[in-house]
Amino acid sequence: MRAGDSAARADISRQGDRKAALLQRLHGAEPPRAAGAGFALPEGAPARLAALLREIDETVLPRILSLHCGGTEAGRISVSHRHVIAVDLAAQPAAQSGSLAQRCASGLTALAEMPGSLTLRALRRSGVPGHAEPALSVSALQAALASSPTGNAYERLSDLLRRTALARLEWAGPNPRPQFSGLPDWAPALQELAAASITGAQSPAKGAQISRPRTEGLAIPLSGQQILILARLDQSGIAALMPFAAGLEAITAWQRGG
Amino acid sequence: MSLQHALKDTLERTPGLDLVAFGDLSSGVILNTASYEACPREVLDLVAERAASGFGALGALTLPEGCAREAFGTSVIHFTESRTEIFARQPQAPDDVICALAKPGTPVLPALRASIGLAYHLAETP
Repeated sequence: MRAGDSAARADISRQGDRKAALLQRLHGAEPPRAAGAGFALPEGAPARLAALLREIDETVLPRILSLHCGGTEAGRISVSHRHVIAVDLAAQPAAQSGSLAQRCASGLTALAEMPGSLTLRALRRSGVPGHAEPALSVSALQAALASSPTGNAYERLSDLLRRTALARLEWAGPNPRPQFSGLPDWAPALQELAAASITGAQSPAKGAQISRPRTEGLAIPLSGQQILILARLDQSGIAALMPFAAGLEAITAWQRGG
Repeated sequence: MSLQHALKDTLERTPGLDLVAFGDLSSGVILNTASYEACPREVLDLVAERAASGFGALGALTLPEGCAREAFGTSVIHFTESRTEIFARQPQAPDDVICALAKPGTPVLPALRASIGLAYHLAETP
């Protein structure tokens, strides 16, 4: 099988998924929304982020997606032709540094992780310039979100593991010097896990070279009391010895956006 | 109980599962599946690959002397933000693997227990 065939199939599959989701919404799985009417975003950062990306992907006319938290505006996403033009947070001035992708990814992550309930309302966007504006597609945003330095999935997972790890080894970067802490007997096993992961990151499989990096983990139950967990993103990773129940709970909590 | 029936039974009894499959680690092939929706062959191939890779990682591990390890080698769990994949086998037939794919956020322990239970059940079935 050629890599191009696989990519084309994945692309068709993604398009099919999107169309299926649209049809499901049109057929009443969710109540129709009147123009300008607000709706509540789901709880949990991943679900919120997914809802925001879906809203952007379904917005063709120039619109401001206004997000409210507790009656006050928390942020605004400027959208046109299914592309994001800007993400502005009410609590902080617009960032000037970084690329548009980095700024938008950072802003969306901050909105998704905002505590409390968020509602979204689409407003008409006035003062649209006559010329084409720099804008980002949803797929470009997703790629930026995967490597967003703030609040990314890897950081959340490694934070969860650190809280209850009995021993842990962490590394980052192209020539890492892993840092160990905790029960000393476990250093060799964690180093072996880390070495396998680092080798894998330095010589990724063919398919992995063209796909964007994602946070993934491997859990290895040892007994009813203990479990080893490896979490990694690209060239960063953490290998941890965890209490069994806490390790399994960390996986679930992370997937739920905790 | 037939293999197919056992896979379907585990799928239906365990909350949060999308697919339960039986595969062969030595050849890296999924042989039987039970799922609520059709799963492309390419996805099943990747699942089998991850099962082999996950159990393969165990061979290089040096566990400390005296640590409790009664469950070591019988299961591994691969997870991302969007899916949990549980792989279970039992010592008498280490190439026979049960693969259970769970929705994100699903509690892992019930699916892990169900997968290990099914692996043992199949090993004991003549």
